[in-house]
Amino acid sequence: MIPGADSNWESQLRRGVVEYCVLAALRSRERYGFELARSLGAPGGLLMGEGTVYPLLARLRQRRWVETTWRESGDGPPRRYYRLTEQGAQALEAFERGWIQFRIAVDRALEEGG
Amino acid sequence: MDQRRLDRMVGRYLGELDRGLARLPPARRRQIREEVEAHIREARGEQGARDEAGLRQLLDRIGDPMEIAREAGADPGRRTWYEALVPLLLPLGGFLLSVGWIVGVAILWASPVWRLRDKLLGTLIFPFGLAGVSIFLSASLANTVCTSYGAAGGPMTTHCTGGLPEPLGLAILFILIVAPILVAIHLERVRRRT
Repeated sequence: MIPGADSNWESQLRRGVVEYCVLAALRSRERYGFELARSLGAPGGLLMGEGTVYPLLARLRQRRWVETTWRESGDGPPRRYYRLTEQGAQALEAFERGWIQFRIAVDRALEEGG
Repeated sequence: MDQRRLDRMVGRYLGELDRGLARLPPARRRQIREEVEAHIREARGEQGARDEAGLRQLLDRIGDPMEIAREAGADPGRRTWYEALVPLLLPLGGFLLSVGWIVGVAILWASPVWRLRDKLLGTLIFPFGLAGVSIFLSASLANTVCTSYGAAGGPMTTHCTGGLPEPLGLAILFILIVAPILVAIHLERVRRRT
């Protein structure tokens, strides 16, 4: 038995879906990094620490699912805001459809097994 | 609480992040680094974090820098086999027609694993490693001239000039041999930490 193998599915699953949860957080409006990190990085959430949202954002940006703009902030230095692109919105929509089917299939399998 | 001490703590955290991200393309690395830095600034402004415990808690919430690096795909756990050669090549590579040492220095400077001060240390203490030390020692011993004199059949007196004076010479000898070994051990520890 591989140590930690029992929680392996969890980290695999998280890795697969967390990007889409970042996209979902941007659905209603643009946000800046700190804001996203705070809302997604709460303990018990999907992130392994608030800071891990930044590599995710960098990856989403490279894929052109999000784009960034600098905006002045009232007090401090300018902030980098993230906004969902058309492509990103489509990816999120496709994920949502797939996720619902996936969830139903897993629930059914678990119930039938019981 | 001393503000500078808190700044140093942040500096250490960001330094660790830099090393973790070292293998990423520069633009991606810069973006992540800037964002984490801005995050720390904002979080410190928001909750104060005026003491060490507060700042520690703040950094814990942001997460282990290596976890951030892993998420970035920088795979900080991955080490290349040739980096493992550096702590051997620097002290001993000089004996391989000195080419070994040069190869060791080239890998040392090309690798993101070591910081600038490690690179300087590895290069300057000492050029050509222990081979350089042995050349230096044999050169200084060659300067030693011993003359023996005394009456035939009587006790002989030997007097040596040049070379290294006794206690100082031993201390220098010790440093010359031990320093490159300590530097090699240090480089190995830094490599393993990454």
